[in-house]
Amino acid sequence: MRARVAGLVAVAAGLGTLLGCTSLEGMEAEQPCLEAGWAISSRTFDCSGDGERANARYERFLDEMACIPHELGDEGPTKLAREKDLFHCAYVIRTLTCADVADFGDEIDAWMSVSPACNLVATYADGTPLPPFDGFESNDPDALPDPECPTEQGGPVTFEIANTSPSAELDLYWLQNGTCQEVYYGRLDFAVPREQQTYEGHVWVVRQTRDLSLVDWFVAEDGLTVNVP
Amino acid sequence: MIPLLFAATAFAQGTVPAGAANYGTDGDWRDCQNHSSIAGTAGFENARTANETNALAYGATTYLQETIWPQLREAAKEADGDWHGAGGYRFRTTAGAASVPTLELGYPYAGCPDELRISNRPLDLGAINFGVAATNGTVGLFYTSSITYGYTPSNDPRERFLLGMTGFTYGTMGALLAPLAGSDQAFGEGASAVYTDFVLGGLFDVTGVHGRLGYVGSRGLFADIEADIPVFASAVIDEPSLSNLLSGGLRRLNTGTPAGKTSLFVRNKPFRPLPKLSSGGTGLVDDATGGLDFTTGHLGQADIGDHVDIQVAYALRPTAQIHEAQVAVHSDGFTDGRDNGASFLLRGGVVQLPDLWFYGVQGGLRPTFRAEAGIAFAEDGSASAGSVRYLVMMNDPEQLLLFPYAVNAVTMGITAGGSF
Repeated sequence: MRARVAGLVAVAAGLGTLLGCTSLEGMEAEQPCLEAGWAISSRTFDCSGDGERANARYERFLDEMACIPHELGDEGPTKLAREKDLFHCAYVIRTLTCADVADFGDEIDAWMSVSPACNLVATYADGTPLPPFDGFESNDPDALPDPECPTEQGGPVTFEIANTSPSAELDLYWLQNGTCQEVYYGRLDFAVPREQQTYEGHVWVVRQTRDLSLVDWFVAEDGLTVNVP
Repeated sequence: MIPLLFAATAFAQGTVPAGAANYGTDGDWRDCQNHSSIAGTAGFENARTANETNALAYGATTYLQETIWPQLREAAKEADGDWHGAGGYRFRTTAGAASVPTLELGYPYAGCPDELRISNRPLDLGAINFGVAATNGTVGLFYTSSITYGYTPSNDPRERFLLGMTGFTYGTMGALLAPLAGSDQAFGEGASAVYTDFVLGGLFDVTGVHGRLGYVGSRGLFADIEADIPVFASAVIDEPSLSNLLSGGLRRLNTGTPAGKTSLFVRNKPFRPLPKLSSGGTGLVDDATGGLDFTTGHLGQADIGDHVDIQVAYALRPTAQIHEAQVAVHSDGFTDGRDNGASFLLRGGVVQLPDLWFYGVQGGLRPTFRAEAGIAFAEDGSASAGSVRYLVMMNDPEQLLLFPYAVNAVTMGITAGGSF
């Protein structure tokens, strides 16, 4: 019985302590900006595992950027509907791939170019606004690597290739051994399979006609069938 | 007092429309809106991780391994062939484990703001365990269960109080009934997920070898065989716990009365990238093995004059600085668990962590305190023993190892245990 009474008294005393000591912090006017810096540090940490580099990158953020304060209410919550969008900057930073993280490195303004919200929360340290948002496409971790220039070749082979997309205008190139230059081999018309003679080990490249962007590449082998895109 | 508080909680539960708590009360503390955490913020990530850490640290498996089995082993240490048993109950709540930016949509009722609001809300966590075990020294049975949960109340202390009490009462039932949840032991996701779990199994002990076979609700069958290891080995590597601690050195070396017991050891705690949870997150951690090593050297003198402890710790890396300086006063035998009757501990001082900007947290000195009080009984010459203990702490190293992003969080706990 004594133990039970002691326990109940302890519950009451503990709750009183809890209520009296728990911090009741509001949101700071610069929090959306600081969140962007924390996100940069976090993604650096995630991708590198290097805590000191992650901390250093946040400090670099503080050195190079000046936060734009927003009235988020030190004493109470804000009523401005726009404010939720301020956190989009941090959100996009946290979704960057590790390839992006490696690309951006210590270039803080590159990190801050990923969302239009970044312009709303920070300027350069001297007060100069960040460049207007110009769109951002994250590096695709599954992106096709650049074609590798062949060094060896085998006997003659034949492969078949077809353009399977009615809206795609595609061209075929041979990546020449030795010079590593792409040699144009003609248009790939939709739904018109093409047989191509070559040598085993030769590399063939498919590009968009419009902007020459890479669509696919492959190493030739006998009997290979390629459908693009 | 306590029944009245329960009644108040029940009243609130029964009269408040979902998503519109307490509107029309003419107070300024009402919480009228449903709210959600804002993704992309440090608090969002910290809160999700904190809830999962809470589930692991205070889950049924951990409770079995760290509390019930040691209790049972102590009760059955005489190896007299008789049946011995152990049982326990534990309640833990941590208020303010993280600070979470939240968005609240307007709610068109009288007395409620009708426009969008943004504010930081605290993440409060709860955990309740129940467990029993018995053995005759050769074979035995065990059962433990748990319920853990997180929620983001408003900053109003009254709301937090009511929700905390609700968790205490309903959570106790939840822990007891955990097996009814079946194989699906997680409900919801992220910071507000509720996890239940249980472990049911049997054990065998032969000289130097302890085997356990059981079923874990959340994971299925498990088997565990443990061999007694020499003392010197456990002194080199210990505490390989959830906190990823690795430490070595002297622990509580008796230097006689009244000097007490000396501890001198080095410890390393790596702060890791936050794991991205199965229930969501960005899933973009490439190197989960890296981290920021936090290496500390510790010097402690316990039981000075049987009643005073002093402990200091200095961080060696990443930044050389004081980590901890604390003084404690306690009843005789408290730290050895030799207490019989009423006992207490009061400890206070300062603690310091390095900057952890990747968690959105600045380092620096913070006050820390810990208070424990309890009552215990033990029969001489018998395995019968029982205790009830209460705990409250803020910025305690034990908390910060689990939740390094917590700032001024307060943890309260009640444990009860008994054996025969």
